[in-house]
Amino acid sequence: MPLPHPEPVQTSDRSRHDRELLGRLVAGDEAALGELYDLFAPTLNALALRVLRDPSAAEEVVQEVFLHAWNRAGSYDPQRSSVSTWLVLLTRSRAIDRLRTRNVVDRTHDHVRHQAPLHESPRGARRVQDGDRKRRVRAELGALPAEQRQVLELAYYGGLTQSEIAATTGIPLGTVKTRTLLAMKKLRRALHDDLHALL
Amino acid sequence: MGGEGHDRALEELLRALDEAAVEGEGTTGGGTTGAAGGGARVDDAGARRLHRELLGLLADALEPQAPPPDLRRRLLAAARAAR
Repeated sequence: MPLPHPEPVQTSDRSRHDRELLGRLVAGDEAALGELYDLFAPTLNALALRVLRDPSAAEEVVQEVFLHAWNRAGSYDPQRSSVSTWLVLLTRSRAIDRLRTRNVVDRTHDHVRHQAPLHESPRGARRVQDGDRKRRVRAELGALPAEQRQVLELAYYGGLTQSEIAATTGIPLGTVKTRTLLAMKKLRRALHDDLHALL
Repeated sequence: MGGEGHDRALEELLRALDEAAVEGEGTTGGGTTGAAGGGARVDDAGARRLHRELLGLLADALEPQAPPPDLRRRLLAAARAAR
């Protein structure tokens, strides 16, 4: 997989570069689509795979997302999110739509409960530039108490509402809300600098 | 299809972040108002964007998984056909 930037660059430079890629997509530049794919496909595929647990379905979601970017790059709003967040949340949303269509909410919960922790090895696309940030995100998620990480994973990867999490796990709704809030407070505080670098 | 507007789980996570901002560092993210535990809200588009970015960052916790090698070729062919 080629890395478009052989040298480390600042996050703001990457964000600018990503926005430029979308501008080239609007102009119909196929090479820009290939470059966008090279940058983000491994992360988006991992996300779709995590949600769906089905490589074929994940692959279809990834293709849909990039075709959406190709056809609707003009709808991207840089005031609303970075390009990476736009693509990640689009992928998550589409994968969860499929998950719900398959009506496998219970199975998802079982997967989340039994699967390996999120923080794994530090390899990945854009590893030269993003390695430190990825390590921080993994470390902070890994540092969350297990019960807080559980509700976050069920919401983020399972697409479960807090009421659904309560019904699925038997945890009182108020406890689900408290755990979610505590997790978010910790992550927001811990990743503060990384977040601002994306703006 | 394609947006997240119908995504209640995502919206609840965003609301939790808004509340965390109110209870935590106050206006660090920008434009938060409301009392902790009741009516917490984010007035500022910048603060809400910050929270969206945090949810985007969570994908960084996953080990990247390269799609099948031919997906790139198929994608570019489909894109060409779509124009």
